[in-house]
Amino acid sequence: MSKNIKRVAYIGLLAAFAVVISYVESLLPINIGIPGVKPGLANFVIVIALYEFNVKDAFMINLIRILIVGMMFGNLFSILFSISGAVVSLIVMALVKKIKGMSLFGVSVAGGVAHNVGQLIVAAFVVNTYTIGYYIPVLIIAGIITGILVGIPASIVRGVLHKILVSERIS
Amino acid sequence: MEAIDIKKKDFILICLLLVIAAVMYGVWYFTSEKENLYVQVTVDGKVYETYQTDKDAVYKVETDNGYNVIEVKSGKVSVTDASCPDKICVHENAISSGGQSIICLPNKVVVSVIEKKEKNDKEIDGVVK
Repeated sequence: MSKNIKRVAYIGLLAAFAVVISYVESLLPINIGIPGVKPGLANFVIVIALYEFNVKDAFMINLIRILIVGMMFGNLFSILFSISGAVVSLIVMALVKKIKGMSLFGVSVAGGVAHNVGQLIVAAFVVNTYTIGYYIPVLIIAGIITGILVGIPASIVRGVLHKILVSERIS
Repeated sequence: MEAIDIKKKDFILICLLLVIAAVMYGVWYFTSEKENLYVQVTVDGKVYETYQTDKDAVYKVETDNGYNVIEVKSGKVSVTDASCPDKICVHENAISSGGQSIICLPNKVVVSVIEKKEKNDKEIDGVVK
């Protein structure tokens, strides 16, 4: 029982952390060139959750983050974009994580790229045009960069968090 | 547990993605024309209007969703004003080569630079068989 309560507490903590990262990200003047497409730094928390908890928990944390951030700072478009990016990147990350010999680093990069490309696909549907395909290489590069930027701290924090979770017998 | 644990497969993944990006960029770069271009404005996927790129002018696109002001200046196309709340289309860089576009999501407006085909269907007045 107490194990479950601690687990919920940690998931809540990660969700709160993700909200803060998203808020800070919204303050950064980064414009990749496509409306609504954000770098996805909150993937930091999602990668950790994916390793320390499971896909379902990681998805719930992301959904909580998207709804809170969307209602506080965004609009319908940003919620739509975030959910599409989140779903695509989580599916890709879960699959890449299954590859033997792939570390958290590769998972993070794959998630960053999938996040961007997923958002572009939704953008293509919203405006009903396919000419924006030339953005894909730019978004792949941007995804690799954010994936690396997210992967390094996530790898370190995960190591620390893992010890705590093991000592509390949650993970 | 090691602090940063980058494995060989992570590098392979990054290299693979870089190659994909480079190939896509290369294909786009070499297939896009620098001449024979025109500006096409679509609203919700339907062609609204086409403009010439070699004539400096300012156009206003007005739809039920709002308005966007498009400026063509020495071959470069940009959106100078819009009714949308975020103004992302206004902040975007000017576009000038084939395949590039500026998108205004709230207004569902896409401004693209498109290559003129040698025999554009729209320019054919009639076909005699």
